[in-house]
Amino acid sequence: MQARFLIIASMLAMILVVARAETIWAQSTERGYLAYINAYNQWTVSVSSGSFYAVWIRADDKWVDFDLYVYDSTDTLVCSSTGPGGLELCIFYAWYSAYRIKVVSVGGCPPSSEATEHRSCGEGWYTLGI
Amino acid sequence: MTAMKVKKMRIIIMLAITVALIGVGSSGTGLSQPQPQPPAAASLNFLVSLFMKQTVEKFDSVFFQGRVITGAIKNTELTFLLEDGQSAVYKTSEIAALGFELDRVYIVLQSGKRLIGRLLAALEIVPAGLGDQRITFPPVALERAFAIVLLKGQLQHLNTAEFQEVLNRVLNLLARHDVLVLKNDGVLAGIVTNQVFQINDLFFNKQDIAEITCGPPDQLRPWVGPVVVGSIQSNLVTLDVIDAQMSLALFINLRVNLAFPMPMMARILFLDRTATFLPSERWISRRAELIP
Repeated sequence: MQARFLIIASMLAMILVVARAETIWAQSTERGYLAYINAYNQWTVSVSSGSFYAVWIRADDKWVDFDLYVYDSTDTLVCSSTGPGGLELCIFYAWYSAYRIKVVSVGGCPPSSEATEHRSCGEGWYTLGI
Repeated sequence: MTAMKVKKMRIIIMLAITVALIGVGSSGTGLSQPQPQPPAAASLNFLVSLFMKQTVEKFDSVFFQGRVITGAIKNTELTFLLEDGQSAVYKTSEIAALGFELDRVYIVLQSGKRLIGRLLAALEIVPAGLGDQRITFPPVALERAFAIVLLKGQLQHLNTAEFQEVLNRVLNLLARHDVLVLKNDGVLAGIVTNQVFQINDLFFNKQDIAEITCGPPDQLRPWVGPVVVGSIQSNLVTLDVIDAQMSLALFINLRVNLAFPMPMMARILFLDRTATFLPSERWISRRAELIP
């Protein structure tokens, strides 16, 4: 009985380790999508501690306004980039091996045209790089 | 199940749990207290954000050998010998960027077309804020320096790999050279030749200064000690953009020393060897992927 419990406990612990990963690795690019204003994506990035890293996002569309935040594993904001537009960059020094990247849509409406008539304000794809 | 087997199993399970818990712990933290970002992070954030958002929208940029000149390219058109043997002339207003390598240049046109060839004409640029000085780069110098030329307002026309290559050049400026940021958002990187800066009645050797932020009031941040607030007394800042050593390394007869009046300065960032990023193999490999 006790052995079964321990087996289940150890399996859960293993699953916990594996399930942490919606992780991306440094020196890569990812694609992301935000559907509306105030929508956000979060990414966990694994890095080698002891080096500087540059995180950036580039929105596909010129009109959107996306912001970028990076948090360390104590949930402290280490850098952010919140200007207008869809290009944001921030640099941080990695003391830790994992960081959380948050990309938020804060606005920007498409110009009125046939091509964009079905597009919502703050909606669009972006590329994330680190 | 014998008692022995149960005991063995317990040991194995306990080991598995320990490994799993160590995994959870080490994947997130090695340190429990928030660690402050080093001063170089703030300088890099300022420089990179300014350059990629403002400078590239206002000025043409020429990156070479860990340095940069921003300003206005004076050529209205450039002639190339394409790899198929044909010559082609493109208006500068049709070009988004040029990436030089030995004996060839990778051409990014605003139309989205990518070509490979060789530049046949010298490139002329007037540095930001210095309307009367023109720097002429022979094509061979651009090739040997692995230069990148980015035309103003064209960052949006670069694909992800090209964008990263430009970003990489900007990231590495501060780790290799002194950087002048002008009030008009122009940026130049090279070697500041002023050996001493005076703020109020205090004198600082160049090698003791991390950063000067121009005000008023001006602020001088030394590598060691508190920030000094006051008024910088130096009239001119001089920058070796191409010095004798580089001229020799590139086998070109070209020396460029520029002098900027202090009131034109927004910030001076001095070489910070701690501001290093991971090795840049990925940029090279991605660049290689672009070449058909």
